[in-house]
Amino acid sequence: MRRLLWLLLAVLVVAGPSGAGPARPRMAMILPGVIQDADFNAVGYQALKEVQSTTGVQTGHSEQVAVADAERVAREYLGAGYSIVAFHGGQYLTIVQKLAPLFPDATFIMESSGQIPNLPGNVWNIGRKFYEGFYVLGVLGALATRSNKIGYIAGIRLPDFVASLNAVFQAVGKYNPRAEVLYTFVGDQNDPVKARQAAESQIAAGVDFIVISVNLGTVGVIEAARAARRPVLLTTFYTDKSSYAPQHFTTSLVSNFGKPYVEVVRQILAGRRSGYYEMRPGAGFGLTPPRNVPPEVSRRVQEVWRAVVLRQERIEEVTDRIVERR
Amino acid sequence: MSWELFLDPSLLRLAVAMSVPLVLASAGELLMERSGLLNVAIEGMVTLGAAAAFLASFAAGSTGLGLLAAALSGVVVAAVFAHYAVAWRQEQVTVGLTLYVLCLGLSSLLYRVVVGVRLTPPRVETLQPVVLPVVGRLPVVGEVLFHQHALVYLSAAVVAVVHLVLFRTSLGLRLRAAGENPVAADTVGVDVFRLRRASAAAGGALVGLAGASLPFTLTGTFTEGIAGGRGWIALMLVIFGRWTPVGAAAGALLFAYVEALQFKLAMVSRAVPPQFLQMLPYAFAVTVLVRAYRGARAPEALGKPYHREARA
Amino acid sequence: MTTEAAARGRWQVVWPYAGALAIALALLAALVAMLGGDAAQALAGLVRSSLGSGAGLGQTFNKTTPLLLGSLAVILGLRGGVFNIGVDGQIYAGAVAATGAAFLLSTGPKGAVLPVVLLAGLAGGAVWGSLPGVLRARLGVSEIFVTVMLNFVAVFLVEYLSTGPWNDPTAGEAITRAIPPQATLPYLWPRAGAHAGILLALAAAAGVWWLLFRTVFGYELRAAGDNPSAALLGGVPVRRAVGLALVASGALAGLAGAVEVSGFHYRLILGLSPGYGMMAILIAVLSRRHPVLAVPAAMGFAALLVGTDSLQRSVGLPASAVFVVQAVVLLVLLATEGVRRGAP
Repeated sequence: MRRLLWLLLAVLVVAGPSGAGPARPRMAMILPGVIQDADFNAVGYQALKEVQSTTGVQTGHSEQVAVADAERVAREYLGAGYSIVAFHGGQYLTIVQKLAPLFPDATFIMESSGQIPNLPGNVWNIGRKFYEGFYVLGVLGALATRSNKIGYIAGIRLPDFVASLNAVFQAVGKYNPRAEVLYTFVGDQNDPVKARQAAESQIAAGVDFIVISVNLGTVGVIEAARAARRPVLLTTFYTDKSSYAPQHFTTSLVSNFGKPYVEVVRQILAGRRSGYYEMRPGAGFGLTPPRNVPPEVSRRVQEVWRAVVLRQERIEEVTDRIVERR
Repeated sequence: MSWELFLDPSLLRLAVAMSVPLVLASAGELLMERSGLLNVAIEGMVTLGAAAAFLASFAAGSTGLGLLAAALSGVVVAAVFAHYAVAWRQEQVTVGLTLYVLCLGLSSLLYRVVVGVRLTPPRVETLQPVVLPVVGRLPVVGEVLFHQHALVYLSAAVVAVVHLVLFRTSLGLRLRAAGENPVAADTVGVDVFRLRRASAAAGGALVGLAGASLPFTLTGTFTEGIAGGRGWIALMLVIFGRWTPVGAAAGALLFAYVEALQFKLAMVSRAVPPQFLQMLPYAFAVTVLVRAYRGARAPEALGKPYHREARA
Repeated sequence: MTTEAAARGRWQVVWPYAGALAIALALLAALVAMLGGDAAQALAGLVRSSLGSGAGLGQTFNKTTPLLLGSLAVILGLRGGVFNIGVDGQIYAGAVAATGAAFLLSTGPKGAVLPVVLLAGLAGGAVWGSLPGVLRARLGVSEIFVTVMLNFVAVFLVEYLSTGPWNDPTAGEAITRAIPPQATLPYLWPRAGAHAGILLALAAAAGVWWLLFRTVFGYELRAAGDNPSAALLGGVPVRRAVGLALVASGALAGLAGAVEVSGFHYRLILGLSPGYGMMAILIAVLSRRHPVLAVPAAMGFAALLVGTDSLQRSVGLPASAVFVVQAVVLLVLLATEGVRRGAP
């Protein structure tokens, strides 16, 4: 114990003088899950690392932070001198709104699904717009399906996922009007058992292309696809999970949170302490080259993707109800 | 909505496959309850069994080892429970709830320790269906019953064995006596304590195997909520089945069917919000319990510690 | 009894708890070491972050509130011989009712809105507890299974509300819109972030004590729990008392839910109760079903929760590992009790 105290003293002595000049800003990221999930939290952590390597900002992170604990964790970082606190997930909205006015010298970064009005002047808002990406996944499904039945599996019925589903409906309605879209909200983003059961039901109903909109539940859908008698194609999002079942995966809507985060941190360092960054295809979302589909289909899908990036394809964002088009 | 929606062979097949954890867990629980032990840690034991199975299989690359690990974990927890109940005569529900919490925590902890920090989530191979030779070719029944993975056939065998042991052997008779009237049993030389411990061990192994069936047949992964309430449902199934393995298995099939139906209904019914359909299996379970309670007679000494020195 | 014997008796009651605390800390140290961290530093950090700083202490108080209310709920039930395993569901039910009341009364004056919101929480939890209560009282159905199933149903209900009619569209998550300011609990200690819920919980502890030991209902309930057949012979309406106990138990848990919404989150969210229901059972047993002892026990658990949270980040201790510690502590206590009782 005494050795510990001496060590502490030595550290303080060494670290002391460096506190005299302008301190390097430090950034903390609060994540809802574990960073080795190869999914949402992993990409958040990747973004943090990218910020550190490109801007030189020192970083720290906390995983598995439940909403109930996030305020205390944030306060601990703020108390330790971190001047930028980022929340990877929209469920922390209340905490940002509560803390931002209390800590005017710090800057906060939060994520949501759109621009939030009346945010304090030290909050940056990253709006994640998935639905445009899902539109393209729907196009792929419309063109690749042979049974003319496309499935959509999501977890919780959030406005984001409703918008994505509606985008899939629009894509199928435009590129393959004869095809039908069957959808299931299993109730949990991370429950592989429920996801598997839903996938089995859809496959039994004739679905041969499933757009996956769950996180850890994805493995359940994969198992259902592997057990199916007919070939079933899958897509995923956030990360490229094709290595799990190479013969079933077509493409992934991959997310690169580094893009928005690096840009936002640069702006913060330049003195601009609030703003809105919209994360969409081409600005944080990308598409892996489609596989296991005819090259003609792959080419066409990539064309549509480019059009979506350039905002040349008209897609409606409907978040409050599901609009089925035939 | 036509009637064939409810009798779709693929739906029935899924129901049979999903009934495995319920059949095994309820068989194990009823063995324990028949001897007088009320084990409410069962949900935790299922979770721990799933974790043990997954981790052992992941670390050693063998499904068989995973099944063994799962059974062993169930035996150990049940043995601890039995000791508290038999030797220390603690309140069985209290100990059970504490063990339930312990098992949940242990599952996550072991997962973290064994899996560690990885870039991709770990997975193990799942069991593939085995088609039985002659009966597998029967028109509808073949697809539903005999195109299943090995654990389905195992659980059917378990039901038969447990039934035979309980109702056709003297061991079973003594076990049931220990649960009905331990005082009388003791006076005729039945070792109530040893029987209770033995039933706990056997029952615990089955509950552990029930947990193993989840990663090995459904997902190939382990997540914290993988048991999904199945342990609690198994408790109810024991009552539903009047403490017989065949009755409990029938209830398991019924419940698995409702569970599988929920997803089919979700695809068809647009007006009902999905969350209300998700409530269906659990609300169903409560109504089943209420109906099953009438006329259900539990083993007389269920949940009561046997104290040799106590005056009646 | 001589003074020495009395002192020995008191010591015999105290040392298991001291021993339990020591075991908890030792176990934590071992877990931290197993995961590759520095045990001494971790333990110091644990104490410092939960009790050693203003912010930590404030959060400890905040967490004590639902734990204390939940354990009081379980204690009420246990005194009557029933096991309320549905505290989580009842917390959510109370939270739903409170949030609904807050939205309905969004234009009322502060003095009126907040009490109504809290009362709504009580009512919501009571309703959720009444189903197992009625089933138990009228049909003798065991409450163990029913309460657990209702936990699942409550979660789905919250999910429906927080992603559907009450959802906050800009958040993109399963959280509702914010409740109006008049429905929020005031801060007790603003710098530390502690809200006034702790006062409600302490009042509830006193209330439960009074109910159990100073009212006829409490007497009937305890008689029903200790010896139901004797109580029946003595004219106690056992079934009714037990049924009412489940309703009251639900109400207390519902109040916890209302406090969490009104004092902490200001919204209804999924994940409002990270396992408080199970911890409440452990606390209730640990405090020997006594409402006053539940206060320090709940605070101890809260401090443990807040403290181990920092371990999650520094060592990667998974959140549910703290369940292991809590459960082991209780198991050790139950074992020492059993050993002292002697062989059967």
